[in-house]
Amino acid sequence: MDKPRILFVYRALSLGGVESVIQARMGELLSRGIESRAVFFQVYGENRYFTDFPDKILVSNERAELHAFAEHFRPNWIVHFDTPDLVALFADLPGCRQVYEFHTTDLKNARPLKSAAMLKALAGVIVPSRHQLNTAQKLIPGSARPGGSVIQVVPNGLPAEFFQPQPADLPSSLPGRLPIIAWVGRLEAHKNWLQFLEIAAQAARTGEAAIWLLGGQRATEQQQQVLWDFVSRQRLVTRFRWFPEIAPQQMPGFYQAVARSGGCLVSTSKNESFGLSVLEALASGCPVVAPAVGGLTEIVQDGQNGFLYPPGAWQTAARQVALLIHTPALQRSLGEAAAHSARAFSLPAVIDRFLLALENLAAAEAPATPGGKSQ
Amino acid sequence: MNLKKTLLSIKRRLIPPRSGREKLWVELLQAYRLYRRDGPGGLLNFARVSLRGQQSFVPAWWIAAEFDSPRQPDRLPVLDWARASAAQGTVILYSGMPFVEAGGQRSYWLARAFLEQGLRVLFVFWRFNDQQPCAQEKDSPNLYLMPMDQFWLQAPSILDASRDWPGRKLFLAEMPHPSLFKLINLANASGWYTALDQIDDWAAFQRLGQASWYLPQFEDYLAANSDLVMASSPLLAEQLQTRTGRVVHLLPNAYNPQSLDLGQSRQPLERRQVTLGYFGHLTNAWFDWDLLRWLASRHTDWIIYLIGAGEEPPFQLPENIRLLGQIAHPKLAAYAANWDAALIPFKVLDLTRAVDPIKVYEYLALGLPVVAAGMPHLQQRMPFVWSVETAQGFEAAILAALGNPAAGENVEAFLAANTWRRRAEQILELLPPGPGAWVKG
Repeated sequence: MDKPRILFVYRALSLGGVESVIQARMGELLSRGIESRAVFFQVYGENRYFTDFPDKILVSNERAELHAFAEHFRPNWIVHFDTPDLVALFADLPGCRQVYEFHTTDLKNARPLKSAAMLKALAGVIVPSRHQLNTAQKLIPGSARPGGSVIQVVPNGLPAEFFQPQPADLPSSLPGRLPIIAWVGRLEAHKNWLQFLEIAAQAARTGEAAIWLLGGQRATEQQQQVLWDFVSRQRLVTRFRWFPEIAPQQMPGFYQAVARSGGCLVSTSKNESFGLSVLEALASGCPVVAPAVGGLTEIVQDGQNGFLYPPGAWQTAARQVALLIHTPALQRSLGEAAAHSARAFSLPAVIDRFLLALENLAAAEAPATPGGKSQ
Repeated sequence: MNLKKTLLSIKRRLIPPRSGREKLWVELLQAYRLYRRDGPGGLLNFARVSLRGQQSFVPAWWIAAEFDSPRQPDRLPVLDWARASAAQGTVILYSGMPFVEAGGQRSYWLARAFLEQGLRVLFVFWRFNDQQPCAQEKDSPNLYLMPMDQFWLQAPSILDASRDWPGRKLFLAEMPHPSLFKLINLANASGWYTALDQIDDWAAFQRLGQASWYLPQFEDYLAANSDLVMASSPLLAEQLQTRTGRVVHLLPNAYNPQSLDLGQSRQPLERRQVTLGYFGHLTNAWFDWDLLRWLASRHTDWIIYLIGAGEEPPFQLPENIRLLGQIAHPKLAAYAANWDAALIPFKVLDLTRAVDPIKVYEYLALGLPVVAAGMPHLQQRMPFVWSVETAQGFEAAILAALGNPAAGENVEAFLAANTWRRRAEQILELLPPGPGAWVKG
């Protein structure tokens, strides 16, 4: 196979998991001498992820500009992250295969994958977990049968910083260095962030603990009021910290601070195709309490590197959190196991799988021709 | 672009700024945004919160302004200022007052003192609406004045860009406004030392119908989330420490020797057997007009001068109480040179027990003995200050103070230790050396 030249496509550049995945991949590919670029339709806030190679990305909602950028780069692979909109736009690029990375858990957004025309334009589909593979196979007609559309599993990967000790320390104002019960994500319905507050408040009632919530840079004023109302009614004001955002390079330090405090990360997602923030925590030696949903069940091993709880059973989750923060030896041993379990997702290993997936997709079809997918 | 302008123009005609319709519009807009984020469950949660009477974190007009101009300019002028000004460090001062000397407020004087220390100051000030004129005294290239509503919009960009600013960075909250809920840990995570400076008993203000923005417990949240916590009076420090468990450093108010022109000639004023005076804000909620009227009626051979802006007295004043209006700060010494003693005739309230009036330091610098109502903490730590609890006590204290000009080594030593320059130094000394407490990898 020719040396890949890869263009990644995603909708929005903010501080989300997909942007993190693209940035990590681009960095690792570059270290292997493989050129890549990324385009985004829009940007929310500042560009925090691509500061090392700002000339390799484009943010534009002008289709002509996006096409010109791609044409100038001459990719032989275009990888669309949940963005069916531009598959047709790039179909005329010569010698270029297009791949659809299916990460969303909102199946409404995945409807285009049912389209025969869309599938015809694609060399294949990549998903980040076996759970998402099952979802994709149910969604894409005939994909579960031999000879159907090719779907490859490539998990998300983490850069080395998550596996190395970081100098970040706890903010000095935390009284007594309490164990931290942390949550990371967007303040959105499917992340179920209010349930985290219930879990944390319940767990914190069993003893001293601090509660950190990271995410919600774009939280509405009313979400803030709901958050504040909960925190003040539960009398948690002096033990609660809300970080609307921190810089991506601070994330390893954040998780490690939680781990060192004797705390844990809690996930409350209603579904996850993978669960990148959970993996980040695990890699940082931070045990996780997560619902048994989606891709989370593939990275959290119940009782080994964290705990799984039945979806919606927040009181069970609160008991698991309380057990962790009040049993330092257990917290430490699960944290060590967590870091060990995450090594399979180190970036070099994952990029090997990504490049192998591209080879497999290329091998599954005839040589590419102008017009996208081979005939 | 033109279409957008046209639509905005129609919107402004249908929903005039600062109208009741604007408040309703903002409510609907927020409800829509909440629905987009959290779905019907989010709306339900918010309805519950509203029923409990939880107030908005920011005024409706801030949100309306954000809707009208959702995109910030590509180049923020404040970032240009930061690039252009050279300093050993930066202070963001979150203030409830504008940058005006006549206001004579702690945030103004601290900002001045930080500038003198070679730091640059981004002075963020409260305003009641975007039409409010803000005549302010920007006279240093290291000073940038910014309304709070605009800072609220631009803070993520400013704080993010500030990671590259040289020197130490102090984010000093002089007003525990709920807009800081979103900002305080953005600042913490961006390399700023964060500090809460409790300068008043805001809850007591609210009980008197002021500070409607104040949220109970939010001050405690700020204290818990700040690297450094300070208070301007012993009572404030003690209460905050008890509530939050944080170490609260007592940093009383101070004065600026250069701001009082002591060498100028006396302003011609009628003097009587006893001439008394007050300068400061005249707020009926705590200014004790009844006490002054009682005093003036008992001593018609005394005369009392009142300098300052604020509310009108609730009744016609006797002829020996004279209102002089607002006088420029440097000229106060010329007026006060006529006085035999200075007064702080406040009602005895929780509010006044927690206050550390800047004017006391200035009275002492002008050589005046001071008689105050309901401020025992002043008498404990200051020379030539009498604090009393009753009208009769007030009268007796004045009689005791007469003929005791504030002078001598005690006064000089006290004043030398209580300048704004010294306060700014003390704040900087309280910060650990090096970068912010949240070490940025």
